[in-house]
Amino acid sequence: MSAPPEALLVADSIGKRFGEHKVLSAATLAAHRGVVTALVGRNGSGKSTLLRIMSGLMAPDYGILRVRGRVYTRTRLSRMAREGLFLLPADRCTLSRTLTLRQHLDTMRRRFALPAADEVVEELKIAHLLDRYVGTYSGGERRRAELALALARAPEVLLADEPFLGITPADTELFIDAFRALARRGTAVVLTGHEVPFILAVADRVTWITAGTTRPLGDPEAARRDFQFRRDYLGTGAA
Amino acid sequence: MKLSGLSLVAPFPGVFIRRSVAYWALLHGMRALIMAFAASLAKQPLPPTALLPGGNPLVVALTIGLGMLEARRRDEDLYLANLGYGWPAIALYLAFPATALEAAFTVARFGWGMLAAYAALPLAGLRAVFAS
Repeated sequence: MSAPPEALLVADSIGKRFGEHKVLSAATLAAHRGVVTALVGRNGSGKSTLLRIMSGLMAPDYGILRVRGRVYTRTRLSRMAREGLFLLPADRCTLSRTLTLRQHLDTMRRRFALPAADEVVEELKIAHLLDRYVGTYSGGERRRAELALALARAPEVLLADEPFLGITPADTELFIDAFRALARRGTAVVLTGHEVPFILAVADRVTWITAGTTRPLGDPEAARRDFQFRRDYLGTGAA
Repeated sequence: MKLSGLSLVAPFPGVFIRRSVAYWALLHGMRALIMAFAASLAKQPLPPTALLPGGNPLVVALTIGLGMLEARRRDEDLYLANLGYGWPAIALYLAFPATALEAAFTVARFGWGMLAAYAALPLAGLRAVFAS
């Protein structure tokens, strides 16, 4: 029996409240090396909040983050990025609108002493975007450029909040391939979203977030078979 | 490899330094205009030195604040965070040029006054001699 993959980032018993509204009460999620974990749940269930807390963009009310043995009660995205994390948030752009994609890739390459990203550009078919300013991109182009940056970074942990949102079916396949390629290279990928067929196609493990807590469901097949998950999230029509 | 959290990678140092200088100049320009307008309304004479920059730490603080807001508006803060740079790095690059300019103008203003006073001393002495 092979050893279980190493947990690179663990959010343990996280709680978060916004005013009177308690979003997370005891959420636990781990990002394992080479594993794509899908975090699914209804709107407002706390998926994005948990991802923001795991990335250091938001502080939890309680709970801890474990990053390769180090324990943090609160941290910052900049520190997590230096540890090898990359965040693709849903509500904000990861790219500066006043730079071109080429400038972003060059900056990233120089910062982390990475090889040239020609392969990534070719893979995602974004050569035509290289010398255009990010501010001129459409939503889909922006998402592809952001993913290119994540691929070029080849992070230890990638947290992607709703990466399939507003993506054409053809691009979705590119995204699935990209996430799988990252996992093969040893990246721990955590992604959220409601595009169930795509999410389940790319995921190795599924975690359901409901009523402020998380419930690991196992692999996508096991998730599909889970009665409560089918009833409360997938809907009765899900085969 | 130990990554620095403060030494920004190009082109960001230039971006933030240029932005800091622009905001600093703009804020001082606005301050001078407001002071001139207020003096004209009050029909009070305004010494020209009051319109010069220098000795105003609030302008430096506003320059940093506006620069940080602009970095957020352009999503530079998130990109830089993904590169491992927090807001202190951005604030540092915005603070340095504004503080240096403000300090230079402050020294110049007070320095010119001191120089004028020292230059006036011998003249005052001569006047005293002639008067006696």
